[in-house]
Amino acid sequence: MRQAILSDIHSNLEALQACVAHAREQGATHFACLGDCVGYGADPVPTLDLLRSLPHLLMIRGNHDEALFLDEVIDVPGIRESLDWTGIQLAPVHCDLLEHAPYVVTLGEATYAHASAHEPQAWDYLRRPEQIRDCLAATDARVTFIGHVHVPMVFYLTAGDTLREHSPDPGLPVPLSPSCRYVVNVGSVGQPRDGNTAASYAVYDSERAEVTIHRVPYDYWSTAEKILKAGLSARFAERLLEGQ
Amino acid sequence: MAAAPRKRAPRRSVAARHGATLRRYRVGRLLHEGGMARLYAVQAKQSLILKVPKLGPDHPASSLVAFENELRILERLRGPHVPKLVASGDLRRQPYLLLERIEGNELAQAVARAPVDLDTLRDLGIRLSRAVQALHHQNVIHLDLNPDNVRSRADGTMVLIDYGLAHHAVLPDLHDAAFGEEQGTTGYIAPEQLHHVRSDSRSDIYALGAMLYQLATGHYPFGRPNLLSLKRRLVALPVPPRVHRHDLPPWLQEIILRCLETKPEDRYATAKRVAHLLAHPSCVPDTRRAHRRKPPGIVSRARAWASSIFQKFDDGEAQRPHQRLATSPHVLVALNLARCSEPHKEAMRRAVRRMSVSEPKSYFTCLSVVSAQDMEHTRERGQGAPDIARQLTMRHWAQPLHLPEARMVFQVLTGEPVATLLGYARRHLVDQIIIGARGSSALRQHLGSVSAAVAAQAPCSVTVVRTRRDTLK
Repeated sequence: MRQAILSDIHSNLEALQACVAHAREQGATHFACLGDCVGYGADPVPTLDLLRSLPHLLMIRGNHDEALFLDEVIDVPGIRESLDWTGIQLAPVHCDLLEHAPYVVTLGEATYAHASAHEPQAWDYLRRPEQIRDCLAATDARVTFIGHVHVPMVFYLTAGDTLREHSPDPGLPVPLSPSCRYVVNVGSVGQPRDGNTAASYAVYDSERAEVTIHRVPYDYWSTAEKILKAGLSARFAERLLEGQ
Repeated sequence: MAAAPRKRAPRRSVAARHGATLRRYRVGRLLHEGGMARLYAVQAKQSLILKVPKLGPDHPASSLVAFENELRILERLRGPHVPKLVASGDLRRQPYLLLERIEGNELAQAVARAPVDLDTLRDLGIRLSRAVQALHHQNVIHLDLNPDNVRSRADGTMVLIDYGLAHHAVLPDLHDAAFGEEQGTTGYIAPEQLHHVRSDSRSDIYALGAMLYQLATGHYPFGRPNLLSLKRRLVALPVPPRVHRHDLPPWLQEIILRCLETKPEDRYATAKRVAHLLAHPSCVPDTRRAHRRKPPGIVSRARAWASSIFQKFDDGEAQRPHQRLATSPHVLVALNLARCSEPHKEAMRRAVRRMSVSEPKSYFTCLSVVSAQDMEHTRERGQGAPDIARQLTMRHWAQPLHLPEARMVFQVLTGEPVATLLGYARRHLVDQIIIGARGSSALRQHLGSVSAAVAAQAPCSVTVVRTRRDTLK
């Protein structure tokens, strides 16, 4: 199975279209979305429609998707307004897709979560070694795919129980060793935050036991213009131009 | 909560033994049994070797990690300096590697009879450096270079074997200090490897220096390989090779001691630089230590010990081997000054200056090729040796660049220009060629363009320098 794993699309249609086209070129037959489909961007409906059309789609719930249905305050200026605006746009079929998505799913040798397999509703940002270890301890799977931090990264626990991180080169497959366990952050499709404006996603080849992070350039100027036109926070548009 | 060690499915033992059949290959006799793997001969059309890791409770846990590491790296390596990977077995069920067998052990033999004569040492050193360079070019650091891991083909090409400890800069590193496993081979291991740094390609330069030391003197740089010699390389200086062999030229002592510097940043950045200096001793700076024939005195020893206290080896943001090569380019400047106008000479100098400033670690070989025609022409005019005249002209041309001797060398070769330039570029691992376009179009039409032919066939980037002509028409 070659599965394209997308996360943190944030209603960025141009980035999603570019990643889906790229993933199909890579021979992806399955798709997974690790949550945060909405928020920030101005294209929630076409984004969710495109997602719904993808073959063998596995949907995971993200904190922005959940916040859409709650009245809680999110600690990012302008994001509550963006989610309320998004809520008005969506049809019941879109709401169903987001509302019924699970927090964590394990399929075969892989676990899928938005923030962590450990206490997924806490929406922790996995950066510290103890957080990665907690995430690994919460599942038996060899590899756990996450998003949420918006920076692609491979964390792995060696056979000698040492935790390491590896910054993957875009387009170069990372072999998954049978002697190690992995947490792979696939980065963000719609709001990359590592200084690189290109959309980030991963292709997981379960037969070859390989994960490849891809960076896909897309027309972020159009996305930014749409955000401004919709009257959403200008900062959301600026971040796309900076990749931050 | 710490992650509990995972239970793994029991592995089937490999039925690899003399007389067994693996795929379509018949397993021959046991060639070697090391701590982590057994090597068998395999009878096939070409001579092959079967490597099987030792698994189970009686063997080190790291043997499977080393095996997987070697497999991952060999799958990605290419070229004549690496044994060809013919087949491999599934890591979980039946791990094995079927490899091209390279019989020659020229280097190990030379080390066994060391000290060797200077020409043999230079030849072996250059060929070995080229193999190390080929590995670094592919982002791999060997980390266990020693004479037993260097084989040689019939044509003299050195082949580096055994990648169990090697590091690939773009792959997650599987090795783990927690296993308490060997970090390298005692006589050749670099100081930073003792501190578990595995990401510095200059660790291989250290091992290269240790092998040159052995070839030159018949001794190890820090005495017999034991625990004391391991510690000594962190806190002391090696005994200068000329203590063991008085007639060793100072330039060779300088090369060896620079390779064996404790701090990686004080060593040569690349193996091709070592090869270049072994081929061009005039580029080696003349230092005091190059002439030393006594072991380090008390002051030098105290200084080395004191600086070792504060020495830190950082495995953080190490430059990848390929990046390091890119920032230390060897540039070939093809000069034909007899047919060069003054503006063109200045344009060539500008091109060299730009490169020398933008890449401060770059170094240059100015090469003038004397063709048979030129030779005849000089002879007819009754002038002296064309080599010396050309060397002087090149030095005069280069003077305004103010480059130190260590960064620029001058060579005159005889032959057909295109073939000679390309041959030099291949032999000396040149990264970039700067060449002037022939000025006269009539001449170019008659003789063909050397620069165009070089640009078309060169193994590296080529900058063709031309002075503007359109504004003069």
